[in-house]
Amino acid sequence: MNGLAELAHTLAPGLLYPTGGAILFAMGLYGLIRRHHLVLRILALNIMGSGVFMVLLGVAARGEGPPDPVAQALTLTGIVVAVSATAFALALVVHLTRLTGHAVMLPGPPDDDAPVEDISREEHHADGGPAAPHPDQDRNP
Amino acid sequence: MSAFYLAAALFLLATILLGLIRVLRGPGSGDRMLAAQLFGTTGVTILLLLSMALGESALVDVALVFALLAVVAAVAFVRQHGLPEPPDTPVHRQHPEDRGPRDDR
Amino acid sequence: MSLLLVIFDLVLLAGIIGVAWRCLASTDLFRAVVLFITFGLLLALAWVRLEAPDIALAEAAIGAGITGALLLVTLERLRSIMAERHSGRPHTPPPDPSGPHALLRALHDPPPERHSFFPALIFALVVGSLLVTALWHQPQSTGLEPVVDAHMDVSGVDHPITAVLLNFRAYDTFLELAIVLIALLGAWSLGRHDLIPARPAPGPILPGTLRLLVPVAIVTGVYVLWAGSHAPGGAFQAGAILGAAGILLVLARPRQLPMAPGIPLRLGITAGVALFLLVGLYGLGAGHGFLGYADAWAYPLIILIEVAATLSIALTLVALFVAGRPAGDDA
Repeated sequence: MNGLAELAHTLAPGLLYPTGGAILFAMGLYGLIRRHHLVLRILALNIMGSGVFMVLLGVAARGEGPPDPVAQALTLTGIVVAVSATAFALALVVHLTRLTGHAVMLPGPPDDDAPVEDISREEHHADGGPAAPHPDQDRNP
Repeated sequence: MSAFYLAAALFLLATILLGLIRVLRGPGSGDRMLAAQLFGTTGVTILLLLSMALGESALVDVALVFALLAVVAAVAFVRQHGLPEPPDTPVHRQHPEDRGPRDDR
Repeated sequence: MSLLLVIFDLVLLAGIIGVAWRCLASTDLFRAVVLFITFGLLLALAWVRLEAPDIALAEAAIGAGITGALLLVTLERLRSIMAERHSGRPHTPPPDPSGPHALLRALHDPPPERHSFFPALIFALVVGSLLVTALWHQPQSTGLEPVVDAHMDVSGVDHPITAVLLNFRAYDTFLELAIVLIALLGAWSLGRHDLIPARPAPGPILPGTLRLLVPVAIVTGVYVLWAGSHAPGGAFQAGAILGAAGILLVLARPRQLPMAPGIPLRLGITAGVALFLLVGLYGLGAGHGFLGYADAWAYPLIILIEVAATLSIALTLVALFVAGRPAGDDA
């Protein structure tokens, strides 16, 4: 009977959800390292952020009485900041794709001999410098 | 009674996990999107059941927002992919300028 | 009862982790995005279980609504950019799914290479197990709930989270609004907006649905804002709901953008930060400190700031969805 009570304590939301949040964070980290498409990396970052929110809210819900409102307010601002940052990052990915032709970040050192993509057709890019050669191994002749 | 509500919510959660098969296997993008929409509807029901079981009336507001806004992603999808009709239907022929790559991943 | 709740928690967590895993392992970006939408939905259920209906409200509007639409539109933008690049250059070979210039490259990510498997796995395992260990051995504490509860009567509102956001920790909220504004400035600095790729409306269902949905969403947003002073709700949730309603409107006629006039839009976007700053400076001048309120003025000032912040957040989310400066002003 004692073991059952111990188990119920272990499975309380205040301990279960922070553990899940830590797992989500680690999984997002793994995805961030392993995947190359920038949209997938943004998704991985978002999953990491959700893990952090889950840890915060889970710890806030621990113990007796109502949950900690400070942690909840923090998470609320965090969610809005996360969606704004995601939107900005996605706009950057679209811009990168427009300039270089792909949204994939491949590993390896930058290749200085790779031909620079013709960007003169994009009139909206009049103010910036030319795009740096992207380390795209596939574009080598 | 609240135990019954909880059991029903648990059952609906299990149906969401079952429906994930459609998202994972597809085959068409319409299938995946429709499954996600179904999850939205199921989510509304789960929220309402949890609201009854846990006695939290504020969850009804959450369910309302869910019911209203789960459609945003579906509208975004429909505006970009069109409806999954075969290429020779009259609707499709009316817009010959609109022949992007048909999405059937 | 409690056994059912424990099973519910376990199934929900397993679902969340499984969905996140399939999302990250997906080679097809569209599938990853749909899985991410599902992930947001399950997260909202988790927030409900963690006694955080405020967060669940925001997650329902943002996770299930805005982020999904944003990701779907981004995929479509990427695809149309790739298609345009290939059609503009007839000498390039036709897209070949296995070739380096594949059109599909925009929406597919090949499986990761083998040599990064073990380092990434070990790194993630170490970080994850450290986090779990730290969380399991955290000392028991009541948090700041008693402190907030003791000061509720001077906060001006009846809902603890609104009190924290707009009175006790107003500084954080002010800076948060500034971050959202900076994100929009960053997106605008990338150039003018491009049209959201769209097909013609396939029949009368879509416009009819939107005609019904958008007004209801706006009423819901205002209701959530009003509810925030005494119940779950408030500026962030209302801003997210109104932003989603605005995104629905943008999606209804993507070919006719821009409809946004320059100056009123900019005023609306900066209203939250500007009003917050003015109130803060007034408090500084009146001797309550930066962002401090006189007790009698707390409620009206909080409502005023919340209305302005709701407007700003909603407009900023829509502008971030459109991505890019409104056309017609290249000052």
